[in-house]
Amino acid sequence: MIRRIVRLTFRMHRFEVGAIVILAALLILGSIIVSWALANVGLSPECQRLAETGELPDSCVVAFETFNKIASLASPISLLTTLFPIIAGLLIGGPIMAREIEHGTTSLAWSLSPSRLRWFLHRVVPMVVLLLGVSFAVGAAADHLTHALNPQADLSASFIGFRFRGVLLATQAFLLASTAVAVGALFGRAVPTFLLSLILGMLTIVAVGLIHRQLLLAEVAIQRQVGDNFFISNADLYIDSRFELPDGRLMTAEEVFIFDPQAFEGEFGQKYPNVSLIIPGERYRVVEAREAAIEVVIGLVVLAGGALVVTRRRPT
Amino acid sequence: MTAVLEAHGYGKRYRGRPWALRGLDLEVPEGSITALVGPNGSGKSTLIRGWIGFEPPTEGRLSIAGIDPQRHRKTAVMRSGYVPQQPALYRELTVAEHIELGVTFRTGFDADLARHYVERLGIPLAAQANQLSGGEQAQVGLALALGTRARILLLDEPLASLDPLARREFLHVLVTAVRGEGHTALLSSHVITDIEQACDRLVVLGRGRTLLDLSVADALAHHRVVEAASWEPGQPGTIGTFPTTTDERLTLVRVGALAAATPIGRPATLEEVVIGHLAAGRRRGQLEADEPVPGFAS
Repeated sequence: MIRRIVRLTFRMHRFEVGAIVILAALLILGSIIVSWALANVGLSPECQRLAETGELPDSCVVAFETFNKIASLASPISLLTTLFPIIAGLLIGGPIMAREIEHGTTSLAWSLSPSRLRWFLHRVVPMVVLLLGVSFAVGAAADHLTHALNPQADLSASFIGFRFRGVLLATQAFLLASTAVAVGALFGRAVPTFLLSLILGMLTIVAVGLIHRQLLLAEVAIQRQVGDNFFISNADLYIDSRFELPDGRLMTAEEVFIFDPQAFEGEFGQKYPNVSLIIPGERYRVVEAREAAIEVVIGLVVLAGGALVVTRRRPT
Repeated sequence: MTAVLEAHGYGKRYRGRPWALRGLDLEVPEGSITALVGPNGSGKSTLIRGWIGFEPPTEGRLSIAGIDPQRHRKTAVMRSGYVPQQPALYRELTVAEHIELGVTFRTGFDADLARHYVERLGIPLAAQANQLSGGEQAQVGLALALGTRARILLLDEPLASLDPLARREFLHVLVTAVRGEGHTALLSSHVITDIEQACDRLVVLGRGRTLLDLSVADALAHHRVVEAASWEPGQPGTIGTFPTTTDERLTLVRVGALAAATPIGRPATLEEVVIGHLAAGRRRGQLEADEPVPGFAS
């Protein structure tokens, strides 16, 4: 029975399923090819280290230029990968409810199915499972490409490409798809559903990022200035900056101004050293998992809202 | 006879619009095939959708097989088979896949029976829904409704998109299925000639209420038409006057047992019965609209 439900659902949405699978396949293939090409340039670890310092010896120049040339091919792939959760989430989630209600097929379906919740699950679950599977694969390919572009980095302990690779691509796609399902159930029109879901979904993802940032403020490490050098590793996640008082208290510029109005006067412009608040790269997996969990929970709540609307609304 | 579809003081008003139906009392007896007739906007679809639980009443109540379809929607859906007004098939699926869909949606859906009716109606199972005509889609809708093996069938203007031959086939399948299984069917339609052959009861809706509720046999036996010119308006039994296609005007007259012994005019056809009552309903509506509003009379 499950196989039959999945087959029928995919047949109903064969355009969306086909489009997403083809786009994902192209991104994965592109990522694999570019990663393979980068790995075969032969840029030695020593050259990579020296490239970061900006003191590249002649022996490294050819390999480094070749590496950069191939790396430029990764830009469109990275851009499309970044957009993938939006495209896939809306394309999968948008039509599920909106098109059914708009085309009037709900009259048939809801008169045949005594349980609208069962009908909702039949329509949504196969599509969401497909979306998650495909998005995970694209996220993994993005991980692979990011590693090829940053061979020195340990991506399990680095915020390089944070939110644009790995599991977060899948959870962002899930959140957008859930939003589109709920909006579609509410409005029952395809075009308004796409537009409104795009706006609401993006706002939700941004809001999740901002809320998570506030949570991370309680977990930050302090990165102090060393001489004139204010180096922050790209493996770490920059959260904010503060002024550090002699007693160790951290204050924003506004707080310092109230606390000590003369702090910004004088020869060096400021009295207290500026420090960066960062999340060390080692905490990447924890931060990633927490943000993914927040997005999944919000997505599930929104989906439940969509199901509630379906059980109460009238068909067209 | 037990009523399986009931409306008691039923009223439905959509937001910002006049009442679609108001104060409707109606009972559809078990085992009957009842025609629900009325002009566009008379509330036929609203009433049918109310019985399947799609439209909550604004006032009054509906019941289907003794239950309130709003409070027990699952049971209402399980007890009814529904053919919507607009053919509502999934364009991407074949006819056979629609039958499979019925199996996934509903425990006890009889796929073999649905297939049997589809084949009997001459529709290929492998045909894609978007390749079917509107009439064929309505026929698939009927086969799916019959596949539910529900004892009550609610058909919302399924004949509208059918050609005359397809209408005959559709009604033949419906009547055979309903009579054979002892089901009850409520069929809304504008096509009165076909109703006469298939239905045993007639309900005419107009102006948001019931204008006529009789068996087809009684409707034919108790109505006659006379030339309007030879009939004094306002005589007892006068129902309504309507034009014919030949510029003649006829008046529908209700005849009692006494009048039947001394017949006047000629027997009315079912279409004339319906048109006469609709004309009367429209006239009553105009009279009501023309009545001065208290406090605003000039």
